Amino acid sequence: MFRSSPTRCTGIHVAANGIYAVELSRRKQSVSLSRCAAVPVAASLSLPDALADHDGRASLVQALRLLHGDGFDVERPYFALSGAGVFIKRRFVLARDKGMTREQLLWEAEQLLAEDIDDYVVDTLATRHHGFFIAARRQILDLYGVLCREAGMGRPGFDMSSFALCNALESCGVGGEGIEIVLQEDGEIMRAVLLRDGEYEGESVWSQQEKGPATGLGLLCNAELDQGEVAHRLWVVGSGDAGGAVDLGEFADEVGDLNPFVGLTVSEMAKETLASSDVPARAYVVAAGLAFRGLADA
Amino acid sequence: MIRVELKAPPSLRRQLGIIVGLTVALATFGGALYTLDRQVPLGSLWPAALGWVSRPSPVEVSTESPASPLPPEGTQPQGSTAELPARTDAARRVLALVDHLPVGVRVTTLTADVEGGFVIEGILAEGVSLATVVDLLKVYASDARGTSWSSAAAEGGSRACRLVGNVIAVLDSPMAPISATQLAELTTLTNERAVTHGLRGVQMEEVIAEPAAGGVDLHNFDLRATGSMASLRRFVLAIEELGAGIRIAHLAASRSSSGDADNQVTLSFDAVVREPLQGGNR
Repeated sequence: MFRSSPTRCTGIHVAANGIYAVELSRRKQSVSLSRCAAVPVAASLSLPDALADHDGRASLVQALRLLHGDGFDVERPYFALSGAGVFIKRRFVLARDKGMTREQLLWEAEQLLAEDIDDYVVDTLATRHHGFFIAARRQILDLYGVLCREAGMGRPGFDMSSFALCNALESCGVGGEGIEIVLQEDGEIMRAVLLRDGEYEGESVWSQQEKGPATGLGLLCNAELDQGEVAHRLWVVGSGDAGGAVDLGEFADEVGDLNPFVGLTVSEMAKETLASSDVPARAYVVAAGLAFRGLADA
Repeated sequence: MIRVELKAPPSLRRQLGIIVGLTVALATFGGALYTLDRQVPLGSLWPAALGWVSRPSPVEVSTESPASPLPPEGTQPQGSTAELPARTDAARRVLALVDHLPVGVRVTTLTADVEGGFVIEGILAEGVSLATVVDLLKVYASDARGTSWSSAAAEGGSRACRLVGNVIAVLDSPMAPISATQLAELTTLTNERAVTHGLRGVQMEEVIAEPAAGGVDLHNFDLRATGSMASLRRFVLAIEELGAGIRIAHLAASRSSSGDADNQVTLSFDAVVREPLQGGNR
């Protein structure tokens, strides 16, 4: 009787080959996977350009309406930001209190963005070792707002793609030890995020036309790791098989797929979806990271 | 959990716009009331108004279909506004890109189109990598590509380069159709602002008109001048302030060998006119 309704949040990852959506729900402290879906889109999408393009947005709206029709909670969907117009910059920070560190990072952002500062939304992140400022072009956020309005969804929330990967890794409880790398394949684009003791440390993004996964990872490791340091784990995420096509064993002691639903109670509906399609669970990592973030905000 | 806040609070410019808009609306309403009061003392209407409220007149029910009143001549809508070209800040955004180029890049020519496409040609100093420049541009542009080559114009270890891409231009509200008289005023204002903002040798080309969707005419005219990049930037900003009746369709700037003050600039403007231009080219 008097059971409170669960808090729900949907993370939506617009990937190059389609849309991946994950709805998580939380009752008391227990989080469960209510729904997940992969919706293909007609043409390969490049974000954020597709948001400003009439045809691109129309195909996105069509796909999002399918999710809405399938019963996904769309009151405050979370989207991942990446590509042109959004970026994370790392800066050296002095050991000071939080307020002063934030002030320094905002100042750094002002130096970079100069007179365009008003066109960006800026926030900061301070870890034990580094400071980061994160900037997203206001216009892109507005375009996501338009997309949601046209698809009959509520106001969107946002997170950076790489932070969504980190949050998924942390929330499903499998990461957090030593140096870890999350390697994501998103169509032509590959992204590798490096974490140290569970904290975001840096990332590298490259096109598969330019270099393969091993070359890209090698460059990231050369730039970020000290002599003799090797990652403890390398997690492979995304729908493609680029991670499996080459031997990545030289970059980490262990290599494996990241299943973001480990440890979650999975509804029958989600079980069916996962069993009936050939989309692997690792394809939903970004969407799951966004949904975890949304639940934390709710 | 990493929780950065990427919300879009209204920008200072927007807030300022709202305040200015409200002030203008209030001032217009106040002005209208004042004018009305000068013609018919409003105070004298109160007793009559109270009388109408207390004695409702019998309502006659008409069986005829309601007919909407005809708008005054010359104010009929000219097609849907969705069909009209949109305003854009592409030229300003492309000009802003130049500021973000590293010190070792010398721009020789720059062009911008209405959709945000840009072409920047210049010289890369020795030691400046093309990849670094392209990566930097990608922060501000939705797309950036480049090539570089050895050229006679580039001395020593420097190289000529060509950067191509797109900035994300804001294509917001449709342009406002204007009358032929307003177009004439706008061209004069454009000329004046070019001079005011430091451009020299300003020449306006003839206005060319062609029919556009929505029953309106698209008018286009060019302006040629000489001046510094700073003057050009100020002028482009000043054009945006002229309102929704005009937009920059194309911009080209070419650096002079005699210095930044003598850059050759050409701007092409669009205006949407709702009546034929008297004596214009058709």
